Amino acid sequence: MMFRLAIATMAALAAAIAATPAAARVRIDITQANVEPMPVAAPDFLGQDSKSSEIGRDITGVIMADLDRSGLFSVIDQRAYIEKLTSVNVRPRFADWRIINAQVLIAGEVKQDPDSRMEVSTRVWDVYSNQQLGAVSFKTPADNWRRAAHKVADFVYKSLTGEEGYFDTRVVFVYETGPKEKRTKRLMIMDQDGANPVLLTDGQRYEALTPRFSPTQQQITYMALFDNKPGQVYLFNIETGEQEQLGTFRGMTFAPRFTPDGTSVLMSMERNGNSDVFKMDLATRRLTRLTNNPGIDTSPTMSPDGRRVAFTSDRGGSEQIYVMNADGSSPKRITFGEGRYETPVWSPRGDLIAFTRLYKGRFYIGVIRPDGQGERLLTESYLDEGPTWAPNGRVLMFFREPSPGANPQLWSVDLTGRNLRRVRTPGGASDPAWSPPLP
Amino acid sequence: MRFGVAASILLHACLIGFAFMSLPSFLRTKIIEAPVVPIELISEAELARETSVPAAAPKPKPKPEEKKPEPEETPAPPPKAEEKALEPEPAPLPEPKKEEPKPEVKKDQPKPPVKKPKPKPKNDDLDLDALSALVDKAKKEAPSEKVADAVEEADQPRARVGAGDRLTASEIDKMRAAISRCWNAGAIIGAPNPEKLIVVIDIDLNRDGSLKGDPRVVNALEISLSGNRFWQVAQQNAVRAVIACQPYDFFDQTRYNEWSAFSLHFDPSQMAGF
Repeated sequence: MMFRLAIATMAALAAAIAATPAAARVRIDITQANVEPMPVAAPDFLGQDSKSSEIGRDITGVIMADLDRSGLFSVIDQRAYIEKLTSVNVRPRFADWRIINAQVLIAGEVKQDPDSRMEVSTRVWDVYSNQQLGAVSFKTPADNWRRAAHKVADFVYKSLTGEEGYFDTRVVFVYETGPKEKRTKRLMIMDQDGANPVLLTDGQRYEALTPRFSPTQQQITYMALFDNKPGQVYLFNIETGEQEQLGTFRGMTFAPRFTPDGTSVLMSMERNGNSDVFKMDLATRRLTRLTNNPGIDTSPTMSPDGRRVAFTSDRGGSEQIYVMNADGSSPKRITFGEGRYETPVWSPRGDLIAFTRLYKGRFYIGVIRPDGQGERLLTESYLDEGPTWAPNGRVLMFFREPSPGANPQLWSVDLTGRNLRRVRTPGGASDPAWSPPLP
Repeated sequence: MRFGVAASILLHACLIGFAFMSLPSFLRTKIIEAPVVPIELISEAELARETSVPAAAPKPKPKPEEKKPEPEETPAPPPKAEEKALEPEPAPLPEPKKEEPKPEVKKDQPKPPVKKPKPKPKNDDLDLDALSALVDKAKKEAPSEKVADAVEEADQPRARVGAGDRLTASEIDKMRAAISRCWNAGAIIGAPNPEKLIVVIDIDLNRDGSLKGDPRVVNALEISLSGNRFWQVAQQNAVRAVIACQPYDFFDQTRYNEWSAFSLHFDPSQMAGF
C-alpha cells in the first residue's frame, strides 16, 4: 500500500519536473539593416549563334548598367563567376553563386525567330532560398534590343523591390548650346540612360522651355519664347513632329503641365501683372480658372488621383507651396520654411511633392508630404532646380549648375537622398521631364 | 490515520516540488530589450575570438546607427575581480558563470535585467591566502546561499538570483548585429508605409550555429494574403538575410538550450527616415 503510494508520488514528482517549461524562444528585434546595394550576378544572355550571342552580350550590358545606376544593386564582375550557364531552363548550381556572394542570379537567353524577331527570356533566381523569383519572356524586332534590355531590367527591379521599374522610359529636356549671352535652347529627347539623343526642335524661331510629357500619349507640352511676341504654350507630337498652339491668349502663359489623366493641361496665365492658375481641357479648349488672387500663382501640378493641385504662390509674402482642391477651392499653405519654395511636382505615387528651395543663396531639391509634414532636403548646390519624378515615384531628376556660368547638367537622386549621380547628355542640359513608361 | 498523514505529507511534497520547478517560469519577466552596454574584462585575444562573425557577411560602411558587437571594457571593482579569479582552478570554464550572481547579490543593488558577464580568463597569479580570506567573507555575507564551501560545490546547481537562463546582453547584441549586417534592405527603404512591413521569422539552430530546418516566416499567410508587393519583398529579404548569415557560431556551446531557438522581428520602419 505504502509502496504503491510512494510510486505514485514519485511519478507525480517526475511529472512535475517534466512539466517545467522549456527555455522560451529568444525574441530579437532587428531594426537596422545593411543598405549597401544588393549583390547580383548577371552572366551574358545566351544565344545559339554568334549574332544572338552578340545581342545577348549587349542586352546584358544595358541591364547591368541600369541596375547599377539605380543604386540598389551592384552587379558582380563576370570574371568572378564560377558556373557557366548553358541553358536558361536548368536550375543553376546555387552553391557556386553563393560562394561569390551573389544574392540573386539573372539568367537569360536570346533566340532568333526566322521572321527577324527575337525572343528574349529571363529567369530571376534567389540564390539563398534556392528558388525562382520570376520569369519573363517576350518577342520584339531584333533592332529593338535596347528596349528589350530595359524591359528585362524593369522586371528584375520589380521582382526585387516590389516597385515598378523605370528603365524603359525617356527623358525630354532643354538642350543648351552657345555662349551664355546668346544661348540656343532646343528640345531634345533621349533614353533615361543617355542613349539615343534626338533633337525635337531647331531653336531657330523660338526658345523652347519647360517641356512636360503627356501621361497618356506621345505628346509633349512646352513653352516657346519668341523674340517679337509673348511666349505661348505648344503641344508637340513626338511621333509625327506636329506642333499645335494650345490657344491664343492675351498675356503670357507658362509652366504648363498635363493632368494625370492626360485630358487637360494646367498652366498659369499672366494678365496685367498678375498671374493665376488655369486648367485647359484639351478636347474643348475651354479654360477654367483655378485661382483668383492678387499674388503670383504659378507652377501647378496635380495629384495622381486627380483630386488636388499644388502650386507656388507668393500671396503670403514669399514664394511658398499651396495645395488646393482640383476645382480651385480651399487653398492651404503647406510650406513654412524660410526662403522660397518653387516648382512643386507631385510624385506619381502620390505620397510626396518635390520642390526647389532657395535659401540664403543656395538651392536645394527637397520633398515634402502633401500635408506639409516631413520636409526633407535631398541635394544642395549653387543652383539645383526643376525636379521631375521617374514614373515609379522613386527617383528624381533635376538640373544643376555647379558654379556660376558653368554649363547646366542633369543629375538624378533617390527619394531617400542616396545615389546622387550625373546623367550624361551631349551638352548643356536643363529642365528635364521624365516620360511615363513606354507602351 | 498514519496512512493519511503519510499521504498528506507526500502529496504536499509533490505540490511544493512542482511549485519549485514551475513557478519561477511563470514569474519570469520578459526579456527587456533595453540598450544595455555589456561590460566585461577580457584579454585582446578573447576579444578577437568572441567578436568574430561569419565571413559571408558583406562589410558595411561605417554608419552611426549600426551597433558594433564589441563589448566595452571597464575595470570592475577590485574585490569582484579577485572573486572571479578564484573560480577557475581545475574546474572547466562554465563554472565561473554560476559564481557571478554572488557578487551581484553582495552589491545589494536591484537590477531587473541581470547582467551576466562572460567567463573571466584564467588568472595565473593566484594568491591563495588572500583569496581564501575573501571566500570566508563571501560565506558570511550570503547566508541565503545553501553552499557550504564555495570552491568544492562550484559545479553543482543551486538557487540563483533571477531565472539565470537568458542569453547575455552581448550575445543578443552579436546576433542582432550579425543579422543586421546580412539584411539587405536598400530595396524596401523607399517603400511606402514601412511600418507595415514587419516580418517575423522563427529559426532553430544546431550546435554548430547552422540553421536546423528552414526559417519559418510566422506571418507568411498574412503577408501573402495582403497582396502588398513591398511586404512580400521584405519577407524575401529577411529570409535571405537569415540564410546567408549562418553559421551563427559565436555562442557559448555549453548553454545551447538558451540559443537554440530565436524569433526574429524585422522592422524597417525606423530606417526609412520618413
